Amino acid sequence: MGLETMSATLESAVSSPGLPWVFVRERSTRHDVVVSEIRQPLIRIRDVEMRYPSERGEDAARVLAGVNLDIHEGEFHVLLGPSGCGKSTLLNIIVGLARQTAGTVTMRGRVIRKPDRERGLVFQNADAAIFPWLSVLENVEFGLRMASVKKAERRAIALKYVDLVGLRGHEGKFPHELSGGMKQRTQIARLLANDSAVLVMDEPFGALDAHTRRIMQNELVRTWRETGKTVIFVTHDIQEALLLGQWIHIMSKTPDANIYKTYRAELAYPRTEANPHFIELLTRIQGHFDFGSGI
Amino acid sequence: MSENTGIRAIPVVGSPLLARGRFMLENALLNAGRFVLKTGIATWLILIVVWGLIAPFYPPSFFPGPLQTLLGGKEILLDGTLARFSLISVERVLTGWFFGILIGAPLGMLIGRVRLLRQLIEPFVDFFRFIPAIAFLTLFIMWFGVGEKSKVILIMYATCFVVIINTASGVLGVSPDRVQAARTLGASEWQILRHVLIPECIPYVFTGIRLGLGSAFTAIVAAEMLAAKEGVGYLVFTSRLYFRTDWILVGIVTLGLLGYFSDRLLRLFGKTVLKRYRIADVGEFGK
Ligand SMILES: Nc1ncnc2c1ncn2[C@@H]1O[C@H](COP(=O)(O)OP(=O)(O)OP(=O)(O)O)[C@@H](O)[C@H]1O
Ligand SMILES: [Mg+2]
Repeated sequence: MGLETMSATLESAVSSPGLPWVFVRERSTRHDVVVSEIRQPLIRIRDVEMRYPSERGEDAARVLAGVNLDIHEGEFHVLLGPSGCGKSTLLNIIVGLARQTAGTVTMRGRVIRKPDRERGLVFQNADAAIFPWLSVLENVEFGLRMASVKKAERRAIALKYVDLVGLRGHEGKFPHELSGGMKQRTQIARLLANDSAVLVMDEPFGALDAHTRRIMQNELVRTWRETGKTVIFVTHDIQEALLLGQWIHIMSKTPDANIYKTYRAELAYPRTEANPHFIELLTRIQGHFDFGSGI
Repeated sequence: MSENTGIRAIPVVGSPLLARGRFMLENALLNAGRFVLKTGIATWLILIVVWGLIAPFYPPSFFPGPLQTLLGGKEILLDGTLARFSLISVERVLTGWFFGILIGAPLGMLIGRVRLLRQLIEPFVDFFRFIPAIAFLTLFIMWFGVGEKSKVILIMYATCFVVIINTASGVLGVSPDRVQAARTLGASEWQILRHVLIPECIPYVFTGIRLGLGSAFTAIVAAEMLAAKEGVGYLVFTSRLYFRTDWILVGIVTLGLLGYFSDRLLRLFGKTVLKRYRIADVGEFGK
């Protein structure tokens, strides 16, 4: 598909009334994403390939191959895909914790080589990521402390986010006194308090009960809309993807996983599952999982 | 009282007040029993009784009883020898132990962190760990003289060793995710060392320190037996020459008490000041 035609379809689809979601593309190739080069993206992922070295020394099968993605400032992207397809791997590459074996990842035009506070990450496993010797409040303050923010000031900021994630009254507790969901919320508060431009979240609500999960989803959307942060969110819950994301990328299976289909959901926030368009899109995406050859 | 009324008579033995009193007494006795067991008082009482029963079969210069030992202890306690010797031994132990930690902990971190260093040092550690520190005494005396220096260095060596091994294994066990998390939160390499690696290693360093104290006591007693004019080890060794077997026992008990209380103090420190690091407070049998 040429540049003109692609942007034309995009334009017409997005602007056509009565269609709040649009199927953007089949398999992202380098050619397709040229469209968005009109506007410089915040994060640009090009032809990313990832192989992990195998135990025996030789290169193992490629986990990721040919991943292309443009993320613009202030957008909410959701990565949806089957377990083991390389979602965490891709996030690690974006954050700078892992190095892709081929391709480039840039932020504001600069190659991402190592992690920094511009891209904060909520780890899939909260236990391994929060500091057990620090209280909830001290964990939330951590980033601010590293940035030498004055004690009184960082206390106030941290308390605000402790409140936001519903941990008020637990701020003095230590991680071993918390439930799995509370640890995860501590991690989320820690990320928000640190004020990174990009929030990268790896199945952050997986460990939460349905009720807390719903509250956290709403809070995330609210925070995102208020602050204009860029969010990259991994989940394997289609419902959750649709409640949150503007862009929904479906990843294919390993080996050689990449972004298999992309949807742009224009449904108004706050979203509900009752919306007919929501159900329509849900059914469609579910169909990819049920019948798609790539997943 | 028929059963179908649903009411049953409650047998009353004595007045309710009396029953309550008895209950409280039983409870107090039970608690006292638990206390006596938990604090180790029971163990000591049994030991002293057995000792008192066996000792009369032997002459006091061979095996003195508890009472004679107590009297002998009173003698050297009153003339100040015991206190002076204990103080001297403790001072040696603390000095050597302190410097041993000062050198061992950073070195352990370095070894745990730097692969090359670890590979270089590992064979060395595996070799020397089977050689008790005391085997170096003669060498150290030759090199550092018969004075305090050689003894303190010996203790330093003994402490250093366990601290290094424990610290290094602690650093190796640090969760890479936590280091990564700190990086994404904007921590510099220096801040990672200060705010992640060190806190993460504290429980291991602490174990090393506790074990180090044990090695330090072992080393000092042996050193004082062979080359000292003062100290508890010296007391134990020379009392034999005066046929004061009771003093030997006093020296041994003193060593035990010194070790026991310093370990208790350390554990208390671990439980209070270092509380947030969740140091496992374990005795010999892991509980
Ligand atoms: N450090 C590693 N070394 C070798 N292989 C790895 C490593 N990390 C991940 N893999 C492999 O890469 C693939 C993708 O893993 P990844 O954790 O990215 O999946 P995921 O999509 O996040 O899965 P999930 O939804 O279960 O979290 C898996 O097949 C896994 O075995
Ligand atoms: Mg994952």
